[in-house]
Formats: sequence, C-alpha cells, structure tokens
Amino acid sequence: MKKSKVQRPKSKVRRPVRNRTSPIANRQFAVVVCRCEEVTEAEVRGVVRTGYHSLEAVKRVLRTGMGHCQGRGCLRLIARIIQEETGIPASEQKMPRPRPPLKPLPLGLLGSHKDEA
Amino acid sequence: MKRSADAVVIGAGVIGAATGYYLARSGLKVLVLERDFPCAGSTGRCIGGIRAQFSHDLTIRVMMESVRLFRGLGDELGEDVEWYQGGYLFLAFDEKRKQAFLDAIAIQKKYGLDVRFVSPDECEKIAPGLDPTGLVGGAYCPTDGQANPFKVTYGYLEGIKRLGGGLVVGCEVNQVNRQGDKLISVTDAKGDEYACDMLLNAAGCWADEVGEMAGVKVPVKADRHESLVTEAVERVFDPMLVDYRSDGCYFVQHSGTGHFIGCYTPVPLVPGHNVDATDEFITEMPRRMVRLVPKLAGVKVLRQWAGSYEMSPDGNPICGGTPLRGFHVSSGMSGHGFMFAPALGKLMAEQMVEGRASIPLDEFFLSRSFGKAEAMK
Repeated sequence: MKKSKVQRPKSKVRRPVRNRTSPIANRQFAVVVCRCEEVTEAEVRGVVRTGYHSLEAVKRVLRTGMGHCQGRGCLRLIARIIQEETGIPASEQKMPRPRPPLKPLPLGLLGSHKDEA
Repeated sequence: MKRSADAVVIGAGVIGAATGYYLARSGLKVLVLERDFPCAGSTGRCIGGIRAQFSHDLTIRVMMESVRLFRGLGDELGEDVEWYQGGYLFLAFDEKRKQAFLDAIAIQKKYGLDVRFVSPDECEKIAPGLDPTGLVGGAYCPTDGQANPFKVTYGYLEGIKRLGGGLVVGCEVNQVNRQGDKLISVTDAKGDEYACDMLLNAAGCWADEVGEMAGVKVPVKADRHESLVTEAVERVFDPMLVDYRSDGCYFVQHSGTGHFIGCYTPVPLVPGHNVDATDEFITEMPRRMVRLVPKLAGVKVLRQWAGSYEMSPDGNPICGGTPLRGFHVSSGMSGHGFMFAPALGKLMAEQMVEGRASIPLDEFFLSRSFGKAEAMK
C-alpha cells in the first residue's frame, strides 16, 4: 500500500487524563453506555425520568455523543433505554445529525489547504 | 386540553429559561412551552462566552450584572454550570482597531469594569502560545468568562419546576388569543390551550413569527454562524481570543471539559434559517486558529455545526412590552443571548411584574428607533 504523503502535524499539546471528575472505579457495578464521556446507564435513566425523552435532550444534559466517537457507540443504546422508560420506539426517535469531520482530524491538517496553494 | 399559568414563556432557550426562572422566583406560576427540545435553537449552538466588553452603555451595565449573576449561579441553581472567569482578549492588528478598543474601554471604565489595553508582550503572557506577529495589542478584561450553555439552560428549567412551574416540550404555539387589546391565551398545534395573564415571546430567531401571531412586528432576522469543537486537551490558556480581522475568528478552551470551541463571522453574512455545515468553514477555521496559536496544530476537530444569530437591526436586544397588553418580547440578542440571559432574564422579569426594571431597559424597548449599532459585535 502506498504511504500517505500528508504530514500529520505533531501535537505540542498534551491530551488530558480524564474528562470526568468522578472516576468510574467509584461507581460500583456501573454499566457504561457512553465510553467517550463515561456516562452510565443509571445516569441516562435518571435524566429520562426527569422528563427528557429525546436523544437530543439527553445529549445536552449528559454529553452522550459529544466525545471522540460522536455517538457511534452510545446513541442506539440510549435510544433503547428511552424506549424502555417511555415506550417511544427507538426507531421513531430522532438521531442527532451527523456532522463532519466524522473522524477526528487535526486542526493543522484541516487548515493546511491555503499553504499548499 | 386547557391549562393555565400566570406567565407563559414561548421558547426553552436560555432567554426563556432564565426569564421564566426569575418570574417563578417572584411567585408566579410559569409554564415554558418548547416546540422541539430545550436548547434546540441558538442556545445549544453557541460557544458559551460571557463578556462585558461592549460599546453600548446599557449592554455594558447589563453584562456586568450578568457576570455577577453567573458567579453565583451554581449555588442558586444547585448545579455546576462550569462558570470560569478566564477573561476575554480582543486582539488588535492595526491602529484603527486599537483606537476602536480604546474608545470602548473609555466607556466601559465609566461603569467600573476591570479592563485595559495590553501590549503584544502582555497578550502572549495572558495567552501562552499566541503568535504575536502583526499584533498591536489587545483589549483585556479578566472578569469576563465562560459557562456551559446546556447546564445553565437545563439548570434554570429545573429551577422553574422546583418553584411549581413546568416545561412542555413538543408544544408548537401557533395562535395567540386576545380579548380586545388584552392577551388571554395561546393555542398550540395540537389544539391545547394555555391561558395566561402574561406571555413572553422568547422564540429566538423565530420571534418574528410568534410576534405576527399577535399582530406585533418583531424585527429579528436569522444569520448563519458556524462553529467547531476539538477534542479535550490539557489547559493551554484561559481567555477567549477574539480576532476581528475579516478573516479572524473567536475561540476559547472550555474549563469544564478541556475542549476548544470557536466560530467566526462569515463575510458576507449568510441570512436565513440555515444550519448546514460547510467545507469552507472546516478548512478556514482551523487555518485561522493555528495561525493565531501554532501549537494547536495537532489538536483534533471532533465536530462542526452551524447555528443562527437572531439579529436585530442595531445588534442590541429587543425587550419589553408590546402594543398587545400582557404580551412581552425578549429576543434579537444578536449573538449574545447566552451571556445576556441571567441579567436580562432577571430584569425582564422585573419589567413584566413591576412594570420597571432595576436597570431601566428603555434603550432595548421594541418601540425604540433602531439607530446606533454595537461596535463590538
């Protein structure tokens, strides 16, 4: 396979250790539904029970789907939880809109178009 | 079905939620009616900056009050709203811009705002990693800050519920009912009626359509602005950087999560309710960010999106009563709704309940003549 000629900019900025302040280790038997933002099933059920019955609303309260995978891992699971809690079929729930770049890409790479010209 | 409340608010964005909360706190039964879900409009698409650096006297005073309220909002709502006082640094790359900032600082100082013009060296100290090439200096206010728009809005809505009010989602108001010159109720698309003494139009960039239902012209127009968010990284710097050049941009690192989030104002403007994302933005915005702070080159972008500014003709809010008794409006925030919300929510609640706000809002009234434009849009 041909090697990509695009030079990936090296980060001089370090990644953080954790997003969340409450480590999963302290939440015994917790089932994680959103790995990127470390959100548990119980947290999702809690928010749905306060009256937020859509993926969009749950996302805004708990950040589910706002992390690296942009909801690939969690949205279907959460739709099922909403279905269980409210009876709204998962297939009828509106999915948050997919947005570019779909896969995380470095600022330096995305912004290099003008330099090449 | 028929329900009733003392005050009905149309729109569960941050303006509707905040104003509803302060109305509920003054003892009224409040119902917030939302067509979609809370934060579905401009609030949920904003980048969360809060500042008092403006050029309009009343805006400066209201924003200073907002900063004061944001400081105590976590305790008030019992919810960490991720308020962080990282400041705002407006960058000047030419003498003309520097003079505009100095003029604005002179007005801001009148009200006791902690703001000053700083040298390029100081800019670098305030924002480590900033490339000072071409920089003449910057306007810096350390008391400006940031918070999480979702947490603030949902926090206010939960507060309304605690105070005996409610939120109705999936409720699209399509009719405002009156008796003579007095408002009596609203009806939604499902035929449900909500009787009320007071009605607040907090429909953001749809405030013109809600106004029309009551025969009131609210001159707001939607304008598309695009944004992006990066992955979380360790703290790089505190302030929101604002570059007003024609190919400038604004961005900030969020304290709560570590993401960089930013946007720019397109030239020319893109009018209309259009929230599509463009290829131009996802390439231009990173170029502009990396030009200002080269060490961000390796930080990855997670998502781009777009949202609307609800522009008023002069870039200042449209607040207060209307010719229809009981019908009030709070819209036309022109890109500053989130930062306006706590103070303007509180002041509008006073305006609606007592007929006069503790900081008089006359210059924001719908009945004003739309002349002098905000210089620090």
